[in-house]
Amino acid sequence: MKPKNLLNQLAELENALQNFSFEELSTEDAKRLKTSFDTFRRQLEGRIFGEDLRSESTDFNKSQGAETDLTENREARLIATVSHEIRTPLSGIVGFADLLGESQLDQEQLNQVNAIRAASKNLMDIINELLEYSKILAGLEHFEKVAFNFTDLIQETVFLCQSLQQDKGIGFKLDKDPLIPAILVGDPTKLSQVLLNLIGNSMKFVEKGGISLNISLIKERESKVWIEFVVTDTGIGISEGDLNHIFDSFRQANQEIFSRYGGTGLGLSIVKQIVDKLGGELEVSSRIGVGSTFRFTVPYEKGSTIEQPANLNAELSPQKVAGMQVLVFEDNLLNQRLIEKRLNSWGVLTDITENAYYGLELLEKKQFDMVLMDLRMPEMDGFEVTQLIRGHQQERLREIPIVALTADFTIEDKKECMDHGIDDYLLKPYSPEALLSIIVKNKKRNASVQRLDRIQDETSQTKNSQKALLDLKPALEDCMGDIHMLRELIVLYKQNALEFIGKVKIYLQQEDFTMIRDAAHKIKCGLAMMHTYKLHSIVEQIHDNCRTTQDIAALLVLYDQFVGEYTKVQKELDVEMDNLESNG
Amino acid sequence: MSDKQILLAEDDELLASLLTYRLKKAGYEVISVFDGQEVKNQLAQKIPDIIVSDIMMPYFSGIELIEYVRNELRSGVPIIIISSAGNEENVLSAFELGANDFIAKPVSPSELLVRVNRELLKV
Repeated sequence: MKPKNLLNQLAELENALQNFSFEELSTEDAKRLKTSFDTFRRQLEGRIFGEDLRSESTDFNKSQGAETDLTENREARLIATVSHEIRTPLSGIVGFADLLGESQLDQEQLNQVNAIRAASKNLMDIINELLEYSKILAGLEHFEKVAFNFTDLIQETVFLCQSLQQDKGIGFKLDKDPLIPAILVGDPTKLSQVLLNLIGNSMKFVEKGGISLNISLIKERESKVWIEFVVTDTGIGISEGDLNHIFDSFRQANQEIFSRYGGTGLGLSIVKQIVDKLGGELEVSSRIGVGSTFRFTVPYEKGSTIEQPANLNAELSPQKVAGMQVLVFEDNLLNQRLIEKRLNSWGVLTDITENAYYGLELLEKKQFDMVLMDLRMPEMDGFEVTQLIRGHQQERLREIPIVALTADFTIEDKKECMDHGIDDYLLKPYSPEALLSIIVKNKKRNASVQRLDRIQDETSQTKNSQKALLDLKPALEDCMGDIHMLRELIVLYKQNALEFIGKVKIYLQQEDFTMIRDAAHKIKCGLAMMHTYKLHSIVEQIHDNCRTTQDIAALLVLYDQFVGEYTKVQKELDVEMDNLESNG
Repeated sequence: MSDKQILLAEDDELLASLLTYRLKKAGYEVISVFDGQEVKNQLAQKIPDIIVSDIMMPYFSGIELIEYVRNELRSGVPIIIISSAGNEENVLSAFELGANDFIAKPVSPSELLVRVNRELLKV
């Protein structure tokens, strides 16, 4: 079932991409998307369907039981390598298709881009699961033994579950034994992966009722604790016959379930493998129509304290970070979702990627305020990515705050962080407060924010000397009191401003300073005519900046100010015109 | 006032629209063009009674326009240059090349009207 599923998705993506006429779009994004796909297909054709694998993949289908562990391990290793190689270009496809979707497209093109996005994301999910499964099977997956905050981890997991199932309207209940120590030693990421997988699996099958997670301390001896986790749902249940091979790979209860609920059928096998490696055993009991219960117990060492960077200050409010744009480099799917949900809930705009080149491209294009960097990533690790950012030709990238996110951290890492120009670090798993605090702390050094303050000061001085947003009287006098003429001028004024806003947005992306300068020059006259001095002053700064420093970060800030101010001016114009018309 | 014809070369639509309105109100016939190419086309058909031109225009600057009118067309038609702030050097060369007057942005339509009237009275 599985390889067929993968091939279907692949065919769908290829189809979607072929339907898309790249010739019509000359944008960088479209070109990159095309290149990503070509790389992807080359890797895939060369490795999966190439000589060395064609025979192996047939073995793989047969190997469900009969073959030796040795063969299975070798195949798993092979699949792990291959999946990895195709995953990086695929994440490029996903990313560039997203970027393309944000550019100006007609409806037809947008539909096509959305088809590419959907197909590539499905494919990504499948490949991710396949990769994970093979890595665990091949023993390539590294299990950590670090001190982590158990309470925080559970809190995060529950937060994510709740936000994921909000749309479904089913209940979620947590019951956690207060006797469990806050700090434990083990692999935090794997634990939350297991919990989220089990809960996610339940979520798929529950239509009404709810899901509960019970965590209890069942044994404590010297420095060791045994913790039992029970996930219960009121889903469709599993028949006795199906229960027997529920943890087999690529196995869902039946074909009907697959077509109805989707998925690779690998989720539970992955969970089973992980729980085994964590030193526990996964059990399941279920009744058709009543629901299912998954249960496992994991031993942990009790921890003492975790070295978190000091100075996690108390002045914390999500308002301090709302509106920030943060780029997250993170390869773990689970952590991706977690941090995205968390940051979004604070009003932080996020872009998340594991693809270093795509991330750099994003950094160049968008105005980010901070980078959160997972240090351990495949292909290119966080240090290398940081090196590329710090050595970038654009000053604003060299100065952007970078915070490392890491599960294990040694003194050497700390030194390496500093050497590479990483500003700060946060140990995983972290509490929401710790994350918020570290963002607030490092945001203060953000160059573009300081620059924003300065420009705001300057323009507010202009504003003080020129109290009203605009004054229509002189313009009306120019029109010899003819309101109809004034109305005509205002229509033109609005057209000019909107055209300016539209054009400059594109020129900023292209960093075409000459065109920005020309556009600024062109609109200045009209702004002065309508006595909208604040807008005029912003445009003068844009004009001067293009002529002298060509500082893209400052220009982006000025541009945003123009847009914000213009919105106000336009409203005010309408109000003033109504007043004039009713008086005259 | 009269049937005098003004060729207005100003690429800013907003300003052009206001000036056209005011000049027409004052009784002039106004031909409004937005770039240097159109200026040339118009001049090829007929030389107006007066030219009012922005100093910065696409394809054909106000300076080039003056050179063209004075040297190629060998015409003494009055030319008023609209200049933007900080363009003093250009204004000087405009005068050297034979511009009759200049008015700085932001343009007051009333002031332009006074200058236009004055130039036409001189003729």
